[in-house]
Amino acid sequence: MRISTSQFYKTGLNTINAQQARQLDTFTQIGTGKKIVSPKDDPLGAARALNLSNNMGINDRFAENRSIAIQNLAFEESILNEVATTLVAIKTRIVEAGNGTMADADRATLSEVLTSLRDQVLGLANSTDGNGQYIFSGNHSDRAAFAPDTTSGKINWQGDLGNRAIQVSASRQLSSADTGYAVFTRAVSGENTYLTSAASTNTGTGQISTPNISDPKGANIGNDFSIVFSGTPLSYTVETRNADGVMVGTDGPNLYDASKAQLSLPGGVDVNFSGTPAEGDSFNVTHAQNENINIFDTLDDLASALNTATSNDPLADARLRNVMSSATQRIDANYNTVLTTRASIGTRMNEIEALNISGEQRRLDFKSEISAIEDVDFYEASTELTMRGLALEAASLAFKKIQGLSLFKTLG
Amino acid sequence: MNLAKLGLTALNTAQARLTTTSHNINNYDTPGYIRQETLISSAGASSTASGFFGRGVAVDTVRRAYDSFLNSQLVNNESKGALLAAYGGQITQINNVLADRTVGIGPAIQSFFDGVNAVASNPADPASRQELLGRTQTVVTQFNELGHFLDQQRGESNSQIDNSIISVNAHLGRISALNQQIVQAKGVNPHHEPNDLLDQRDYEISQLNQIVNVNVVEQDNQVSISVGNGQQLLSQNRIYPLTSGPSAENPKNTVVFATVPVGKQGEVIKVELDETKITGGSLGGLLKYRRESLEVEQREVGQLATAFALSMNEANVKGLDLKGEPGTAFFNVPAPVAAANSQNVGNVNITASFQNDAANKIQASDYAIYFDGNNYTVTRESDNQILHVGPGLDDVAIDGMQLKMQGGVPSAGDRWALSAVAHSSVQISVAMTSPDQIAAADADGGVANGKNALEMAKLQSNKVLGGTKTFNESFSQIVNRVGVQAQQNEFMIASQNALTKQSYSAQQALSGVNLNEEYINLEAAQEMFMAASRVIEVSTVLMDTILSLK
Repeated sequence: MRISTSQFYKTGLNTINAQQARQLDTFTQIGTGKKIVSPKDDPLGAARALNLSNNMGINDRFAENRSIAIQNLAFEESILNEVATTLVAIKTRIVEAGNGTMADADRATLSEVLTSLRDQVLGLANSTDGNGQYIFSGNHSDRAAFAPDTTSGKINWQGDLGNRAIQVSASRQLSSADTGYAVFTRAVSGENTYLTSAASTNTGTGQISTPNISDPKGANIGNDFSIVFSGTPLSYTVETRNADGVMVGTDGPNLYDASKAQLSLPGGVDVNFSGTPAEGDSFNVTHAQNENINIFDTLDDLASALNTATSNDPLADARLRNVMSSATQRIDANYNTVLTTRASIGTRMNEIEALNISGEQRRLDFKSEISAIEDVDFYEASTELTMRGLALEAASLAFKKIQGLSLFKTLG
Repeated sequence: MNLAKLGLTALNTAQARLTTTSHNINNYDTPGYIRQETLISSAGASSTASGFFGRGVAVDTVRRAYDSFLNSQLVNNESKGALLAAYGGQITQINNVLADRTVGIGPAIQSFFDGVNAVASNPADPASRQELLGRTQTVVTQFNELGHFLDQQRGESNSQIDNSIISVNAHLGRISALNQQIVQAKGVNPHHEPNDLLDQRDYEISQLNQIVNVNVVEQDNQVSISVGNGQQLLSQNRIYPLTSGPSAENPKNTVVFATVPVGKQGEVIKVELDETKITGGSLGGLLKYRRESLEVEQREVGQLATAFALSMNEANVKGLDLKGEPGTAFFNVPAPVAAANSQNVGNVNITASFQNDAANKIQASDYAIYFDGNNYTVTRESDNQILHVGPGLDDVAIDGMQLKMQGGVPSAGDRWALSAVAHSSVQISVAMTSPDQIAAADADGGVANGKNALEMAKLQSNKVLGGTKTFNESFSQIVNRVGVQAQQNEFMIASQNALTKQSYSAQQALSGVNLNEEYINLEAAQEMFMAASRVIEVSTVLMDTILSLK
């Protein structure tokens, strides 16, 4: 077989070129630290690395979302902690006010103290975060959660029920805030207690307090009662309404026996009752779930009742006692709500912590998968580079040797 | 027989062999040169009473060590290699543009969604909103960049096609001239081959094949050349040049036209070459790249850009912005373009717009619209599926687009090319001007309401594209396709090179010059020359001896 001289040179050149190109490939791999320098090196690997790094990016983003949620929740928790402390102080004051030895002037002083405690709670309910956003006003973080009505002065809820959900994992959205409505005006769901109140227009000395569920399975548990007094001899009628305010039954008139300390309401509820109500007086016993327990209304009513003189006025005294009973029950319910909300925040933070751990694990998995696909093994690559160098040297040497064998050179 | 004459034939023959060998040595590295051999034979014998006495040696001719089969095999392989090399030169560029996975469209979309998440987690924070608006611009810039790059590649292909056509015609001119010279040489010297002219013509033909693979037929010492489906380029030594110009269907593409004779008066018309029939040469590689890679990538990137932008627009419109106003579009998305074929006889214009819920219906395809005199037919080109047949196109909805006819009268045979997304990547832009316009809130409103942004963020993991791929999956599929095409091309080049090498060594084994062999030929001829000289010298001595007899 004839090997033409130009073929010989061409082949020699091609061989050396090919060796050099392969050496450069290995060199580039070492230089970049990547097996996949461009998609053609491993098209499937390149696409997988893209998908994995995208998923890792999403995973990282959820971690950032979680840290925002943690920040929001931790801040809310610290506010609610203060709220709880304030509520304990308020409860102590109410107990003090119940002390029979207090004079009108002492109660007036207590009234002032309670007003300032109310302001303290209002300040906490209208807390703002680092961005100046109100934390308890739902979606409307640009307006205060509670503000006084311009005409009545009553402090009203003015946010909405937005829960500021944050995506903390691919499948989980978690509330990073609670609304002032839920925290300061509602009993926590599951709170199964009753609240008493006396109509402000009452003219008798009837006092109502200490509602008690005598039969948890009673037919009217969950319904509201109003007790209305009438006629001679003094009798009372109990009207029962469901949660929607629809009358579901009446009981009576029953003869009122002032010697008994208790009234049994139909369907499972007892309530302490004493004194002599006047005809037309009415009292309410409502289920906590059905009642707006706006803490500011409660505190306002209490402060104003404490600020009213009762010395030698049994009627005013009865009114004060009724307001204090009512306030005690309501503040207890509010306090329960705050504690439960704090517990719920703790649960959410725990959940986030758990997600952080699994997210971190996933991040490591993604990283090692991506690395396995595209990172170069330096030991392997540097061995390869040495071998390529040797191959190139050998090819050059061989070419030189064979080229020297031309007859024109050797024989002249 | 005269001894001196006998010596002379040997001397002449040695001279001829030395000439041929020297010619081989001279041209051992000349492109297209084929080794030549001096054919010699015994000059016969004279009959005498004592027997037949030889008359010496005679030179028959000088012959090329040529085999047309080996030669055309090599030319074909080189032509295929040139196609792959041209294709590779282009696809490598896209491959390199997509090399760094940490930059480009995929990461830009990912950081856009990071921004959406940040707004969802903290909708009232002006910094998060501002950042998202910035990232919106980044996504657009990345789409524009890749779109411009692909457009640039198209422009480059167009000018390379123009240049190829100029070279093809130049080769045709030289081949035609060589045809003529060969005919003349044969006329003067009919019994011998004009070897070096034949070499030159073969070489020109092989060079032409590097640009476009052609069929060659030789008759009466002239070659005729045709291309593709049999369109003549050189016939009876008349040149029918190729030309290039904008496509009637898509003026952005430069296409190749053949000159086709009609009638007997030598009139010609231009006919567009079916580019799928060009299967070799660098021109074939360019056309294949444009058809199978560039335009496919352009549509895929366009589909991604359009689907992404439309879905974000759809999502933002559902919410309320920071001021409580209904959301508006994030992006300006270019409408589909229906271009009338430049050869249409009628004057109906067709327009198209995207429907409101188009994001997951858009396909990475162009569409052909054809009017047969009664009905319009709309065909999706990616799978050749007929999507609509009917007498009109108004309010016809296909793949997320709504068509409309604009006046005019159609003519049977009119065509329109509907391009849904091919131009989107270049033309897409940001519509939003203020970070307040990000509609993070749902219908309930409120500055801390991030519910709509949460819905938007979910789109990152939704299979929006054609209902089967996420944005990122679509992008990684584009990268994968380019990688596969580039890799496949590299493998094909490697195996084609092996074939070419094989046919090159087979051809060289016959036709190549080996200097060692020529050295020996040189020595042999020199020895023959010296021996012949000796014969003549002996004859002179003999003559002198006879003359000196007294």
